Amino acid sequence: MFYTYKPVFLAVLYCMSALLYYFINKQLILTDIMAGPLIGSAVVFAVIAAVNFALALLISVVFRYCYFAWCKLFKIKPKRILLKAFWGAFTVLCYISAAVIFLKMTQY
Amino acid sequence: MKILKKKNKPDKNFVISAIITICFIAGLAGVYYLRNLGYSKDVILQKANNYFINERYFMAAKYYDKSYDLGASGAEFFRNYGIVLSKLGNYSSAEKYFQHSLEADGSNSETYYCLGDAFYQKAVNSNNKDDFLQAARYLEKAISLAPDVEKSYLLIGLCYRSCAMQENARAWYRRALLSGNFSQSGFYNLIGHTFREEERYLEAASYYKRAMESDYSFVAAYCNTGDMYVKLNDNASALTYYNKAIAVNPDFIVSYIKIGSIYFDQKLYNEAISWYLKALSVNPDSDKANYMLGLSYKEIGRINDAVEYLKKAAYCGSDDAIYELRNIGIELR
Repeated sequence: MFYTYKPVFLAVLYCMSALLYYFINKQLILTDIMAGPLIGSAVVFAVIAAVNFALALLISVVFRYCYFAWCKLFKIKPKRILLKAFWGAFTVLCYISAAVIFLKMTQY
Repeated sequence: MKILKKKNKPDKNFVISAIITICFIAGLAGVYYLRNLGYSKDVILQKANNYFINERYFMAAKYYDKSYDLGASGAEFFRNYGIVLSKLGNYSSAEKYFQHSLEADGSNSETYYCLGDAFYQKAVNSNNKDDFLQAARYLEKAISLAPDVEKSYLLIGLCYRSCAMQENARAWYRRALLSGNFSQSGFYNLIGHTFREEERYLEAASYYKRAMESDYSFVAAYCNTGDMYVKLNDNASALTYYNKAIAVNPDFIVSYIKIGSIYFDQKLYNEAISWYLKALSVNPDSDKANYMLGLSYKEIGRINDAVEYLKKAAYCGSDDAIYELRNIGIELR
């Protein structure tokens, strides 16, 4: 599984959120749009995590049903994959989100 | 008993994940670096200036910030950036860039004015007396460099009035009058306001009259004089000046409302109603006129008419009318 230690991945994601906050703040030059780097980073982290959590959940459920249909079709014994599918989708989506936000915020 | 020793093997998943993450971050850093190489400081600055001229301050701030990263500088650059940040409400950052502008050119009155304005706006939000005084100091400097700029006198007067230093405000208004470059009636009117704020109504009235004498068409000065006589409980004189205001400008609705209010306070509701109706003939959508007319009808017992005008006042934006309708038992949907 990608990032066996989930807290490590979440810590990496938080660090990436802090970097994204820096670039977002440069684009949103307004007072009090996000109060302070810690809270700002936490807001970015929460948004990325929440959105990708929902998407990953949806993807993993769809994937699980497709997988079970596949196993039934080919008469294979299905394994328990929901958690792995969810975590894999979540991590990949987080990376994609971070990349998209970064590329958008550094575009002039 | 054999003790089995297990070799500690590195977690493959963790190692792969770490490598992917490092490559990912390095990739993004590479993209950022290559992109930055492609940005021209002059092009970005030109975009920023275009947005500034078109008053698109949000976009202007974004491009000024990028220009600053790319090494843009200069008094005008810092001043424009500061103005943009002021417009967006980011006064602390605006002050910082105005200071940079002063470091580049310490004799620009416009920069001092902008700095004073930023401190004033900040002070208005925080109600901090020190910021008002700091604003006044910068505005004094602006005036010393450019004594013929009216807005500096107006703003410095506002700064002192905001921290209850009306005498200082008057001093600056008088200096503006002595310079002879500006509207005499306007500054007499402002001096009148300072006395009004100190509740020195007689002196206020005398300056409002001077404003009238300087400009006979200055209708607000007539109304202000009338207001002072109301405060001095001389309704007859107040009515005289309000009627003069109407003679000068029959389309100035405030005069009609003020006359109506004098009759309303004296409980002469029928006279008040006639004046409020005249006010509505000038501007049917006046929330104040509709509200007062509604109240007058309510006082003489014509509740249906009262409700009609109070509803109209509420739709025109009068919160008092909504409250009054609730008292009557009517909720607006």
